[in-house]
Amino acid sequence: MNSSGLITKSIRLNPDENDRLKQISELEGLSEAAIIRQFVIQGIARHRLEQVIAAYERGEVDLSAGATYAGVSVYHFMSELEKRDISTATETERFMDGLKTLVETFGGSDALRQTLGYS
Amino acid sequence: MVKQSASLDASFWINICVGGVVNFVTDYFDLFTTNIVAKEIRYPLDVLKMKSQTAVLFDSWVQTGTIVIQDPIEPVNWFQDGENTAIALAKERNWFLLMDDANPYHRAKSAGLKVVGSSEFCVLLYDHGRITYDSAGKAIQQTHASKRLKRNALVLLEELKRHKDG
Repeated sequence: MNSSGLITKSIRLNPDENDRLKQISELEGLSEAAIIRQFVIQGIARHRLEQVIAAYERGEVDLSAGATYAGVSVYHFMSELEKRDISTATETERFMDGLKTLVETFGGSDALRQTLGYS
Repeated sequence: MVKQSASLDASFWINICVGGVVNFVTDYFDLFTTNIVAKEIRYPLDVLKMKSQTAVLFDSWVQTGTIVIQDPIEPVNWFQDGENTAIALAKERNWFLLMDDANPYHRAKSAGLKVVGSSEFCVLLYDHGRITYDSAGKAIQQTHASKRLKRNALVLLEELKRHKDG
């Protein structure tokens, strides 16, 4: 660990990867080390997000906890779930129950009752 | 029609905002939420310093007293410490729970809560003549729900329209 608290890691790249890194470094106006660091940080964040999304899909976390673990907003987390089209087994049941609850509480037309299968 | 008190979760708020039906919610519910949910909704403003519409509107509704912030006395711990405060609040006060998160649904239901999501709220608004069929469909499409849920909600909406049209 150096005086800034950062730990040095070394990596090996093949010539192609090395050329690409050089190009990105020149394009971005940042040192190769800074670019590598940026990529590692982004990669860790992406990996974390994927892990949390998988946990959400398994029903192990809710949206709030998922967003917290992934280090993103609930809005962002919901967008990522939508992008990946993650659906849970209970959502259609939740929708139907919710609609019945609304009709029982606030009333609904005969057409809606008929649609919901009320006799 | 008697308005009901409801505990608001971030997921429902975000979806009714992006769906463009947020202004109808207070016709049906008196809104309450917890500090943790408020923090989740305010995340873009507080952490990202980004003026997101959902966060800005939430703030203005809190300032005008349209949304009241109240914390439950005892937070539940169904998933993680400190989470699900919206559920805990609804449970303690016997209020509706406005939530679009499917994972804690069964636990909320088994606690006897009445849970309502944004997609069914859009369908009700259409049924009550508050919005058109097209607006309801558009609102459902704009939410962050999964394709399957959107498809099911849109199929039901279409069926409802057919019954209404005779």
